[in-house]
Amino acid sequence: MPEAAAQLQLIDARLAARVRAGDASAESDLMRRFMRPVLAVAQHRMGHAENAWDVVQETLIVVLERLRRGEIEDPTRLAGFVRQTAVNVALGLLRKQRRQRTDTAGDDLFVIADECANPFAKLERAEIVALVHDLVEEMPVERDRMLLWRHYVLDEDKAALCGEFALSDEHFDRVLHRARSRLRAIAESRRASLR
Amino acid sequence: MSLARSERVRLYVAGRLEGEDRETFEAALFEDETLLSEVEAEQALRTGFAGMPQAAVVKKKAKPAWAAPQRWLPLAASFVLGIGTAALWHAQSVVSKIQPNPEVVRLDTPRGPAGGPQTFVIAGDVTPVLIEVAIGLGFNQVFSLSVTRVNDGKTFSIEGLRADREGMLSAIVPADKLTDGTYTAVLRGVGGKPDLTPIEFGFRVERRK
Repeated sequence: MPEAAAQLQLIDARLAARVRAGDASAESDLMRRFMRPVLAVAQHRMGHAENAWDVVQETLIVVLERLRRGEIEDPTRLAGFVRQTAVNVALGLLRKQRRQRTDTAGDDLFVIADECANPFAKLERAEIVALVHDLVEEMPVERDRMLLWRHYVLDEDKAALCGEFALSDEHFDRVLHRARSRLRAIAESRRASLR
Repeated sequence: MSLARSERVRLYVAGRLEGEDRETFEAALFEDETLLSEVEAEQALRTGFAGMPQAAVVKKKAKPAWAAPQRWLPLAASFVLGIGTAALWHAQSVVSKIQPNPEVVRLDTPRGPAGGPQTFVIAGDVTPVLIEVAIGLGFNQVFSLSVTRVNDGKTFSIEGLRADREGMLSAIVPADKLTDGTYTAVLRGVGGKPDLTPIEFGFRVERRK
């Protein structure tokens, strides 16, 4: 196992022990540690940001309660447990087609979402559309703009797009990578200006 | 981030990683900050593009250097200052100005620079002419622009104008509406906030033969 991963497992195990011991600040630390990856997984599984927040909330409640009761057998594998819980919660919500909100961790969660390093975490869909619009406005090459639009909106195959636009795979990936980096920078700049 | 990782980010967010590949990828999201950041941005890109019409990508309007947004701020201020006065501003002829883009009639100040009307030199073979008025941000009214040729009183109107994201009103008119001569144009906002006083522009058109 890589050293960084082993180190992270130890950190997670200590976090689990602090929650078990009733350290109130440990619960906030747990949310900070796992909110972003759980949101990413939830958004992927649910396909909708609003429902994804239900998954994040429900997942962290389940994890917190299990930790408080000392029911997680191997705390070094806390991340795997959180991930599997998130997947199960998402599947459960999809099956039941219901939305469930509780107040147990709600306020704390949204305070932490304000602080977290994901600048898109609390944005409404329309706000994200506006950010992407700004990104497109900045892009000087129409071919690259069209490439992104057809990829994301029409879901056209990468190989077909590369063929049509006479691009290499590497160039296609670079366009996407630059777009992600720039969008993130725009979002972070916008968030900083609102603080 | 390597391109191979970037490709996996794309496939994951597009829903094209399955089974063990997806499990492995999701496990990595809990350990790798860079990978997580890439996924977040990719998800935002996908969400953002889903709400974007193709026209926003294809018909990107090239902005000449002299059309930088800050040039329009004085005009927005003019609108605000004019609220409630019910007065019309009248064009005065002192200084002429030749626009570098002859097919664009851009009305950028009610009185004209240094008090004179703008002069637009339009190529004789141009069919449509783009009229633009910068009103600034924050105006959600529907606007109408009434253009009158001073020489003979001929008038045409453009209705239903709305400001774009940069606070610009745009309309295309047939070039034969703008023959040689001196014009006044009155811009009126209908409904919405804030209340606006009509604004009058003066300009001259010279058709190049």
